[in-house]
Amino acid sequence: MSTNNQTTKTFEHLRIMLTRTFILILILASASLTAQAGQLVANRLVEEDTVSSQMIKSMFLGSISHWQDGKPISLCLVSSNKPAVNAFLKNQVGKNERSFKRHWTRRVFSGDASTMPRSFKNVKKALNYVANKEGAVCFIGEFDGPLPSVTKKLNAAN
Amino acid sequence: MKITHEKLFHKTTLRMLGVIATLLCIPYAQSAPIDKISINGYLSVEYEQHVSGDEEGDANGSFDMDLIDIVLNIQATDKLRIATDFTWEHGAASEDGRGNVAVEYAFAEYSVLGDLAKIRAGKMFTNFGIYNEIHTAKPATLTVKEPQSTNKNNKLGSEIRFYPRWLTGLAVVGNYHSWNYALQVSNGETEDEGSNPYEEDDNSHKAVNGRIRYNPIDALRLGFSFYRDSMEDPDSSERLDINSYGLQVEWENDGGTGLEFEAVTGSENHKSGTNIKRHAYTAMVFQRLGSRYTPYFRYEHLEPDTDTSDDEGSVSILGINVLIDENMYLKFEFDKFSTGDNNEKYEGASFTEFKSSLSIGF
Repeated sequence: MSTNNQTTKTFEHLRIMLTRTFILILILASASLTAQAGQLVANRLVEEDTVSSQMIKSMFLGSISHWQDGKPISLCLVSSNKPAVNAFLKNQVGKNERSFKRHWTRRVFSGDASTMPRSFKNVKKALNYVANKEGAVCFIGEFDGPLPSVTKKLNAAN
Repeated sequence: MKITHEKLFHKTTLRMLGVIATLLCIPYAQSAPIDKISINGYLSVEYEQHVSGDEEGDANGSFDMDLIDIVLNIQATDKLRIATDFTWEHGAASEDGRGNVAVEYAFAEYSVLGDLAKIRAGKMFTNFGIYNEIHTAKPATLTVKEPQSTNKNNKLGSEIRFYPRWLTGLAVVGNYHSWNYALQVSNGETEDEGSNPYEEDDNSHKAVNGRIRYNPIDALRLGFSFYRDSMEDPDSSERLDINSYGLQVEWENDGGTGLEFEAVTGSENHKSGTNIKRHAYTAMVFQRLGSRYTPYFRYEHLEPDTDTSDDEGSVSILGINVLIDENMYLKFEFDKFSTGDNNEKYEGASFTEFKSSLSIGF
């Protein structure tokens, strides 16, 4: 009876350990993915809190140019963090940096789009732009600091 | 005649400067603050020189202040956009009647169904193929010039282009997922040098053209274009029908290897009896080397009239595009032209030209 209890306790302990390890792995993997993906920050007046991967792609390719409430979307990127920007463009937008620029150069000069995505050298300037531009959304890469009150993090949904 | 031309030239320049000045003053009005206005543009300086072969091309070697364009966009309301592109070409100097000043496009775009449908009215580039809407935007192209065989076939042996550069009328454009479309109804083109198709049509038929593009995967874009118009035949004053159809393929993989292919086929049907069938294609391969260098090779071929033998024209281009700074490119290439004896433009001449350009986008 005592041996049985001991075995049961050991299995229970093992189960809890495995569950905790699994949860820890999930959290770490999630944190790692978030860090790799970087952050999308939008102006506080943007109604959407979550956008799909398809929406992100369409926005950054210009095939969706307005939010659901009809406000024009203004795009920007923080260019200082090249690896994060390149990973974002490749994984989320499906372009390398040069083909992304070429895509937008063609769109603006042909009359299809009004302006190219703004490129900022640091996060502070990008956040200032997002804070002051209604409808703005910016990929700022990895950023741990507090966001200005007139901006918000835009969550990406699959 | 010269005085009239100069006056017109001067008047056009003054009007354009007036429009720009007015637009720059708009921030002080209540309706369009400065953050609703975007100013972009591009500049291109070229050098061309005949290298070998028959006496065609630029034997002296010349610099060309190709163009400076100012692209203005005004987001008047959330749904309404005004877009225009002013160009000053070849060192435009109105006093001497040199160069060219033009409105490349000027249209109002109103969004009726979000990005699904936007209506445009005004002067626009003809939505056809890969290059027409960016034919002056040199920072947006790898090569010094756009393909002649498919885009300006009248410079390689055709009498009339497959489609005009510009047109005035209405358009509906839109996007849906991986699809993109444009449909235009316009005055079309006129072969009568005295009339202005951006102001008045010389016949009651309206030109209709369109293009549909599809991205099945990120790396690949497919397109189909068409253009149909009836105009007055300059030779017989009778009706002339133009029909052109185009197919486009653009592909670039993650490694920077790319391919562009465009084919155009069509006809000129003269009511006086002559019917001309013609076709052309262009194919380009390129390879991006790092972030700076992109060597390319392009082959162009034009058959101006399938019933006339030995009238074809072809161009082989080998070159390199170098990214110097943000949106600043240097291009160097050799263009080898080969034509048949019955080619209307070059009459059998074969020659090679060196072309180079500095292109800057801003």
